[in-house]
Amino acid sequence: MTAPAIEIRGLAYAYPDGTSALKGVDLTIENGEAVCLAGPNGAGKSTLLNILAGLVIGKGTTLVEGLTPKANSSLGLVFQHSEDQLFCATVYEDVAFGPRNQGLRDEEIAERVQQALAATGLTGYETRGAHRLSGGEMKRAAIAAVLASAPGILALDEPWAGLDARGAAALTEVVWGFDGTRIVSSHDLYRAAEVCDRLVILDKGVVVADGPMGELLSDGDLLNKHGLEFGLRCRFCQLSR
Amino acid sequence: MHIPDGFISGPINTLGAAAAIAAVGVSAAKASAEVRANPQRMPLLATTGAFVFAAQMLNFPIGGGTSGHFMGGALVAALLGPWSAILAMSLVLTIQCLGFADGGLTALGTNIFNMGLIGGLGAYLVMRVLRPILPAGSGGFIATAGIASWVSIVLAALACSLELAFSGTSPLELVLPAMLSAHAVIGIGEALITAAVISAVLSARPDIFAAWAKLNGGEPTESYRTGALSLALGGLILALLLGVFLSPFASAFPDGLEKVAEVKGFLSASDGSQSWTASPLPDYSTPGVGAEGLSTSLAGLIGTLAVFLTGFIAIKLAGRLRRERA
Amino acid sequence: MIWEEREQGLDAGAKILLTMLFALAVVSTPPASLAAFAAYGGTLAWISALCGVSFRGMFFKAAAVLPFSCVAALWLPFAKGGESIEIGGILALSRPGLWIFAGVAMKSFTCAAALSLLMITTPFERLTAGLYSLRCPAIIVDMLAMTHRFLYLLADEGRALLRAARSRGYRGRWLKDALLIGRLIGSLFMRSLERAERVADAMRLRGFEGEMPGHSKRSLGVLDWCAVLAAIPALIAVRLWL
Repeated sequence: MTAPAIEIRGLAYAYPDGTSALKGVDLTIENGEAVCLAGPNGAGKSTLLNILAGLVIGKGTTLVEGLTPKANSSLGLVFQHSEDQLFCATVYEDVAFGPRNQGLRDEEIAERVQQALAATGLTGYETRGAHRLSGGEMKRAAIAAVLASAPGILALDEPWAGLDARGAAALTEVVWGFDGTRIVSSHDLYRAAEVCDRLVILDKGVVVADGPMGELLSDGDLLNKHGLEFGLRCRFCQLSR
Repeated sequence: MHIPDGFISGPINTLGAAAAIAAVGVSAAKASAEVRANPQRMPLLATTGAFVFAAQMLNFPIGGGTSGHFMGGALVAALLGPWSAILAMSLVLTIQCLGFADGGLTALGTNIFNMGLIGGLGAYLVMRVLRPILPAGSGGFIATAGIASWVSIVLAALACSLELAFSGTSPLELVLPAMLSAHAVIGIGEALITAAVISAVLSARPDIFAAWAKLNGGEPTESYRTGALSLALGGLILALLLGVFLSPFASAFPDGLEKVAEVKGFLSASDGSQSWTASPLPDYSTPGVGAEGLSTSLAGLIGTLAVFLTGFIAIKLAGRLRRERA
Repeated sequence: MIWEEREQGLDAGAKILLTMLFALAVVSTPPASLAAFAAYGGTLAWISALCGVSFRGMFFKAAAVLPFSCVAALWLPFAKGGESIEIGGILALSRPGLWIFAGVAMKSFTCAAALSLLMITTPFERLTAGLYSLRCPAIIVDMLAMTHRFLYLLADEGRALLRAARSRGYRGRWLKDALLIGRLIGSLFMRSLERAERVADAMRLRGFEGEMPGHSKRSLGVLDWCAVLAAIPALIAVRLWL
């Protein structure tokens, strides 16, 4: 019986100025699951991901693959703003940064980079400077940089924010192609529904709902109550799904 | 103040390059150690450098149709300390030279000397001298940084004019007053911008300036406390620089102009070309001043030392008195 | 064709070295050797033509240094002693002064053109790698690259700030808006600091512990050394005999 990918019990976190972001979260995610973390702004989704990534430390018990979260673990976090994750001169350097820090040999590094670029559809972008990428390309490059470290868990913070339809579709492909545990924090339930099977709704720092995606999505009242939307109300057509 | 190629003579550029390489070497070694101890240092240095680069593109008019721009030495010194300040300024200058063809390649060392060493390190030393004298608290700190930034600009302009003059590119009696007066005004802009940034950072993140402390009456952290000796040395060097360079000219200012004008003959070779090998110190005498000027310089040296020692002792006494009273 | 390929194929470090040697030669040339300057200019024109660089672009970029020559050295023809030249019977200009002024103008222009050529033909990422080939310490190369990268981030932030300010009526008059300008600059810096921390987080997440991971061993190749060693006698020849 292997440890679950994520195990959280009674997680609480308060900012330095006192406002509490998380007020007791219980959550268990098994290996291989694809979970969507949804909720209104300020619900604590990003904080939760930061804690899982080891960037901040909260109270309570948090275990990532059975260990306390630390910065360079098996969980790869993709930030909401991808510019913050690309700090090297070229795409190759950025993607190779993780494997290099893992001490791999040059050939292995090159292989990892090629695989990561292929998975994100960026083969051929090696020598491109990060500032010469479009928004969607930057996002995929950031994912490639995270993928190159071969994480077992991929966590993405609002991945579709700010992307155009093409970029968003490409991103969905990439996330779908990831072979491992997936945690996507997003209020874009349309896109999330394509890549996640389970929906966890976070509101005001606690988990208010946790169940299969299909079930929860049909509960319009629940969604509305927590600032989410899945019904389409279109001015120009009388349809609503 | 980015000097292009061809303005400064070979010997001066070589000296500048040597000083720059030494300073940058030391800063790089220190930065390496700092980054290993605190990895957050690296993006912080890079961001500050990028900010200085961006801020240097800010031109402001200073009257007479000319404009000046921000330099950033004091700001970086206040934020990062002396060595990182030198490194950050050098990075900016190198990027401007190699990446944007702004400033000469052979003059890069001299530019780093002017803006990195005098602008950055000089500002830091001035801040260290001023900080204990000015009131504790954020107001005093902002004033310190503002004054230091003004001084750093004027001193850098002084160095630049001297370099230009001793290279034979500009006549001293014209370039020195012109640059000093222009940069005295530019320095005000620099002081205002430095003050603005520091007060913005202070209100949001006072912890960044913990090293300068005394904001809450606390003691400065280790890294700055043990620098008492460097503080003393720094202040001394600064004062000496001022004394040696300014005294011959200042003392004879009305007739100093004539004297310098007479002597420009020494600069030209017979064919009137600006020879690369024309040393600014042909017989190891300070050009333009002869034996009389040398003694003036010496007098300035001794006088400066005396003033400095007196001041140093006074500050120490004041500090001890304050502590005993507290 | 072969020459063109060589130029493009030279390691950036060699290009930097060549530019430096070129600049040294130019700077040490007495202005009276007009033929030498013609040779320098010709070399630059030839290389830029080979690389398909717009000569006009280079020219205008290099011309930016000319105002400096005027401000710094224009006084010499008026102030310097020595043999004088009469212009139109009214103006008496010093001949040595004129030569120095011409020298400063020519040298700064030529070197600026060379630097522009370097800048146009070599993206900055390659230049930092080139510095590393020249045995520049890794920390400096890393910091150069990162600072350069951040320039663009900062430019974006700055533009966003300006847009926000302009949309609310800010016009950028220096004296009137001094306080506001100060605050804008202050916020730009604060935002950059926060971004720096996020980048530090990102680096930490990918395993950064204080040292940028191994740079692939690189140094100048045979081709590069050939180019440099060929340039030295050529430059010396121009310097001595033209």
